[in-house]
Amino acid sequence: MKQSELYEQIEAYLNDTLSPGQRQEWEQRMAEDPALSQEVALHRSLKEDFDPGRIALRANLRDIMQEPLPSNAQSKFDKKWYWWISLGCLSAVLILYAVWMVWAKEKPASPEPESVPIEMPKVYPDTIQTPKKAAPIAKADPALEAFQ
Amino acid sequence: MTNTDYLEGVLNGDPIVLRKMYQTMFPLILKMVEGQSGSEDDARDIFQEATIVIYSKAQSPDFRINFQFNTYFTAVCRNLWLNRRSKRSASEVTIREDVKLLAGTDDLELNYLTMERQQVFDDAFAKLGEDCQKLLRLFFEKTPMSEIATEMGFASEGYARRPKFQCKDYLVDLVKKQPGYLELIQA
Repeated sequence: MKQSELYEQIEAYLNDTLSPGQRQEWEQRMAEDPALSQEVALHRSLKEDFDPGRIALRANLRDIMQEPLPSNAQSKFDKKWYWWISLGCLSAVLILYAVWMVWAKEKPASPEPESVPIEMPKVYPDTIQTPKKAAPIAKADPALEAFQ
Repeated sequence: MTNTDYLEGVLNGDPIVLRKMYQTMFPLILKMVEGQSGSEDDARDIFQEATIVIYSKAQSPDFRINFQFNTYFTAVCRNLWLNRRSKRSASEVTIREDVKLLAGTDDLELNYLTMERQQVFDDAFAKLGEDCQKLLRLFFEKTPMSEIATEMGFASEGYARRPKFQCKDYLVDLVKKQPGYLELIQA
């Protein structure tokens, strides 16, 4: 039997278009021939599981999943810049520290400051002020005195 | 976006809904999978398979999600990932136990063999040429051969049978080349 004829008979069996006699004969053949039985099982699965909507959905998903994730891309961008900025700051600090170290080593020792005579202000006798007379102590409260 | 919006969007293959799912949920799935020694490719496969699971389930008019869509979708992804991981490591932990522990949902009822079989068929179908795909799509949709002949520009219904056979034979061959296909078709 040609393969194409076999397929047509399998389809006829699966579509239930065989006469009762043909159907019985076909089932007898399947029972005796495991390879035929497997072939029928495969065609049955194809017939039952084929779904154009599902295949279109897979194709759509494949296309969409090629697109970059916006949030993911953004976070990668942020991370990249975070590291560059951090590296820049660290480098700047190290360079400043190195410059300061070199500058501190090369700077000549500062000379001793010359002693400058301290000029004392002249005090003239007529400018000396006598301390003010202390204010009289307020008279004690009689009630307090009584308490004491 | 409500659960109904998501389900209808997946059913109709709406790019806006699919893109939203990809942008909001894929990073979570990626984190989960990579956190459990998986790769980005694993995460992509799991995301696609979970969407197909939702599509298959949403075809039933009685299908309802009792959680937020994101929660349900993540639980499906987790299930699929655990199944894949346990296959790889031949772990003794059953999926059901893991689901109870991790997802807190035990009503997902995923038929992994059916899903795997569908993926094998879909992948094989995707390898066919455009004309073959169109012809077989019409055939599997039970379009009469006379209409297929007209649609495809064949001279007659009789003439259309030959390319239909050739395309189907090619598809069958591609499926048979998949390791373990016998187990899949007998599931």
